[in-house]
Amino acid sequence: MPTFHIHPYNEVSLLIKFPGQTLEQAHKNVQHWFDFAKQHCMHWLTDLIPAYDSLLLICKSPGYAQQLQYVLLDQNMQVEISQPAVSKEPIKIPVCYDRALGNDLEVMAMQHKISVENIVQLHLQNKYHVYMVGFLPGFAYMGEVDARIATPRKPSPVPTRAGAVGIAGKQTGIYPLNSPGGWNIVGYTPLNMFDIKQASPSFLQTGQKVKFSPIDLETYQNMIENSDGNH
Amino acid sequence: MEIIKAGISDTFQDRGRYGFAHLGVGAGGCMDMLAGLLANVLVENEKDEAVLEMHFPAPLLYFPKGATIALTGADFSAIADGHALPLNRKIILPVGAMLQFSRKQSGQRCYLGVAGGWQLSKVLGSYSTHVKAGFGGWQGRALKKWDIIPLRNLPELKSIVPKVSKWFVYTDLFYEKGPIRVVPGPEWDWLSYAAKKILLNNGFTITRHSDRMGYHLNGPVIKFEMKEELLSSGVLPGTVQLLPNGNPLLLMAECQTTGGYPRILHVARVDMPRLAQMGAGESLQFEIIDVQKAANLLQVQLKSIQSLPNALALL
Repeated sequence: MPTFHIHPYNEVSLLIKFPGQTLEQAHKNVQHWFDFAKQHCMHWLTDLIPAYDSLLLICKSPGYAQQLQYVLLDQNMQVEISQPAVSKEPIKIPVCYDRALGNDLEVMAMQHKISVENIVQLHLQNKYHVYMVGFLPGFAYMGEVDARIATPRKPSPVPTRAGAVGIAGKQTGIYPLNSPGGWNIVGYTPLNMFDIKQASPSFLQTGQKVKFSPIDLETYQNMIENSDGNH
Repeated sequence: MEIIKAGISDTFQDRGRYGFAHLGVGAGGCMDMLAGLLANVLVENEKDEAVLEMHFPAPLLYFPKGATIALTGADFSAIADGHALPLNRKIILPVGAMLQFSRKQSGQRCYLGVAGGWQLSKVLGSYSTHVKAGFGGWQGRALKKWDIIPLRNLPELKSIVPKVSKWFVYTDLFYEKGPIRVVPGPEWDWLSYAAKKILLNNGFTITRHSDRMGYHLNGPVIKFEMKEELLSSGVLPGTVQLLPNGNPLLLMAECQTTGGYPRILHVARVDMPRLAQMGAGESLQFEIIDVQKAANLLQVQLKSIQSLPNALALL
């Protein structure tokens, strides 16, 4: 039985952690508890925040937080930790890596001593897992990028456009809105990553798989014109 | 209601936006939830109606058809047509009233409630303005000069001068003096005994880099040891993060949903309204309590505010 810790986070919330586990295992457990809580615990909850190796449950009142802690501690005896998910088809996200849109590929190429084409190729090659949606509405933290293109954040944030696809450390992510940002930008997607008109406003959610596909500048511009996004 | 002159940051807020934190959308809502709620209670609105959260300098507002209003929270010396308007009362403004705020007396955030509310639509279940993402409230932004936001109702009574209720709600109990009570956060034990003592025995000043997202605090530098690699994880309004430079960052209503800095403390919910009325230059001291005590204090506060509508109905 994998160990988990469930502690009061403050007087209205509980933090579930999975100490002593690899990130992969801990995140699987986060997924599992997130799904379980969505199905069975919404009576007690206003919100849930799944992250890399933790799940925060926010309760409607202090009394509910105490009650839910007992319920979940007891529940653990019966819950089967779910098997690794069967390989789901990744969600395809088109990205335009054209320098005409303004990106950081050339700086990154100098930093890593590889060509711009190589960086793009390596970014396209991996299938990414959405670990967490945070920072901004709809901002998905995905991992992991190839070690050869893992890039530290910029020294300070700069204005970054909606749709910008960036790299920070081993993570890759997409800015859903115009925002100050410190990630190095490799390209831009014409997709709208956060849309309040949708029932689920975030294009990506924790637990999904993502694969990027390259598009040229013309396709990018056509797709932008036909969308009413945040661009 | 027309905006004749905009304040520095006037936004519509409510009790917050729930059910979207897993998509990166925090609850937001009124910084001082009690004052926001009270503004609605005083004009007999539903408790999840929108209120206008104002900072100083505050706006100059014109009510062509009058309105039944209440002002709560910070005291900005409200005046309508030459009459000083007190806080925490029901007020009927006459046709063509001009509402202005002349001087900051106390507090940081003043709330305006109007009977029946404004003609706004909820976005993702809430009226709250999410300024960074540009949605909610009025066009997803702070109010600007010449904005016209229609009210849903006309005032029940006509009056040629502002009519102020004789009764008022006494709010001093909600804004206790003394240290800000906190509970330990998940990374509390990353601090040494000495660091904990420094944190709890010294005052911290709220810096100018403080807004609806968070307050940067200035005081003795708190040293800490990274016990393990900290991956980004959920944060809430009230969470106190310790920045790499050793200064605390206190998260407020419109904070991000996740963060990667050590979470050393959480402000007890009961003291969040009081904190929301503090501003740059003011000092605070922390007092640690356990989660059970924080829960009890919050229950007492909720009970007293929940009894208000019934008490007012007896008048």
